[in-house]
Order: sequence, then C-alpha cells, then structure tokens
Amino acid sequence: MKKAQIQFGETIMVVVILVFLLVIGIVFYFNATKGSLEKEFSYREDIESVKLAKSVLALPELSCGGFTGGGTTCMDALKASSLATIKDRPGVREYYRDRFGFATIKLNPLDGVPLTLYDSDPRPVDLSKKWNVQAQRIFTTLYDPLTDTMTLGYLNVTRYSAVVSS
Amino acid sequence: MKRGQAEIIGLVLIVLLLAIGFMLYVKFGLNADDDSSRASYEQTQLGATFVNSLAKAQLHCGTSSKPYAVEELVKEIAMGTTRCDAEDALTAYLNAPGTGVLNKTLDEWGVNYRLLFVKKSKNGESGIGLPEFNNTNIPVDQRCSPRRDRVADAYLVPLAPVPGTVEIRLEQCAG
Repeated sequence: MKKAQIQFGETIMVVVILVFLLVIGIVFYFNATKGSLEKEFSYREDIESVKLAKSVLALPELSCGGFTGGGTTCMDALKASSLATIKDRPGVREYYRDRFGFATIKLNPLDGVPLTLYDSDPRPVDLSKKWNVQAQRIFTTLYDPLTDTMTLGYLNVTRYSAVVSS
Repeated sequence: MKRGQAEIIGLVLIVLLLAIGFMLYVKFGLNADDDSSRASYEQTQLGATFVNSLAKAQLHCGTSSKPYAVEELVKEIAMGTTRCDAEDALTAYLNAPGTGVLNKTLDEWGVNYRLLFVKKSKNGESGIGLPEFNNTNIPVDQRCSPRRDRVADAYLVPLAPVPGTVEIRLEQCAG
C-alpha cells in the first residue's frame, strides 16, 4: 500500500477512535444525569408528601378551634372520626381527590384506633403503570371535644406517582 | 498526514477527554451533599412536629382528674413547684415499655434520636431533673450523641415570670 494510503488509514482510525470515545462519554454522562434526575424527583415527591400532610392539618373540617390552644399541629378527633366515616360517599371522594390526588392518609392516635381519612390508592385499579410510593409521617395533637383533652398522634401520608418510563 | 496535523488531532482528543472528565466531576461533586440535605429535611419535619405536638399533649399526674399539658409539667419541674410526681409521670408517659410515646413511635421506626429537656438561662444550660431519652433498640455505642452530626428541633417553654426557658429538644442522628 502506498505511504499516503497508510497515513490516510491512520487518520481515519484516529477519527473513529475519537468519535467512539466521545459517544461513550456522552452516553455515560447522560446516564449519570438521568440517575441524578430520578433522585431529584424522589426528593420532590417527599416534599410534596409533607406539604400534603400539612395541608390536611390545615383543613378547617379537621383542625381544632383556636380556643383549644393546640397550635398549628392540632386536629379535632371528632371531626377526623366523622371524615373517616363519610370518606367513601359519592361526592366526598371526588372532592378530596381533586385536592389530594393519589394518596392514602391515615391518622394514628397513640391511644386509639387508626382511622383512614382518605384512600385513593391507584395500584389495584391501574395495573398498566408502575407507581412510586412516598411515605411521610408527621406528628399531630388530637383534641377530643367530648373530654376536652389533648393527646398525641401522627399522620401517615402515602403518595403515589406514576413512573414515567424512558 | 503531516506530523503537525497528527499532533493537532491528539491535542483536540486530550482537550475533549478533559472536558468530559470535568463535566462528570462537576456533576458528582456538586451532588455529594444532596443526600444529606434531603435526609435533614425529612428529619426536621418529623422532629419539629414531634416537639410541637408533644408540648401540647396532656397526661394525668398524681391523683388529679384534670390532665396537664407536657409543657405545663416541664415548667413546673424546672421551677421546682410540681404539685404531683411530675418527673415520674412524664418519664413513664414517654418511656414506659410498650406504652410510652417514644416506644410506640420513634423507637419502633428506628429513629436514632436524643430527647432532652434543657433549661436555658443567662448562666448557660442545665438539666431540669428529667433523664435523657434515646432509642433503646439501638446499641449504646451507636446512639445519638453530641459527638455526632445531628439535626435538632426544639420547643421553647417560657418560665415567666422567672427569667429563662426550657427547651424540649429532639436531636436526630443519621443511621
């Protein structure tokens, strides 16, 4: 082969190797970015779970009256019990679904029976998707207006978000 | 190919590899603290709501039929004016095996915490006679301590008219 042809071949090889390394680098970088985005997404979902839990405590149909001195993390036990009773009625479920989306909210009094305040778990219904599950717990004071006492409890908030497949 | 051209291509290759390496370093280097800040946020939410709710929760003390809020009892313990066996009542409320608040929640969830009641005044910090509470399910040498990085949340109980406050403080260590 002529010398020029050999040199041309060398040039081609250098370019091919260069492009190969570039492609590997780009693929590796974007995979790393994708992993980072998934972590960020998970973090944002955790924040949304906490925001949801706090919004539950702020609902006027659940929060204590200002006279109880229970502070901002106070929930009326009687109101919670009533909501747990009517949560599956037509109209009620749709009303709260607009506010809470796909989530399950359970109230756990430390010296009482757990109550499910809201339950819209999409997993048994929508089998075509994969779901991310984010759970948060926040403490709350429970005011019983019948006995005028404050006890301790916590909210278990589970949010479900569909996994977007790449 | 001329020698100069070959050298230029080599130089471009090196620069590209350095650029890719730098991008990867920035990506992983800047994200190194994200996990710790994320965990801190979740801990703070749990801790802040715990101390705020605990302070308002009520328990019976002595023979009185009227329940007392935790913050009331803490204030009386700190001022030495308890009208019932407040230290024992509060300790049992928090830590009684199987029924204590801490046993049913933080201990069961595996939270590595340290709950303490600290009186703060112009003379500094001091205890008020209540023990420090830890997760009893965690080995002693791995429990949360001042030597470890931790997230702290506190509720302040004023001792008015006496100067000073009592801090109901929950510290959480990672792992």
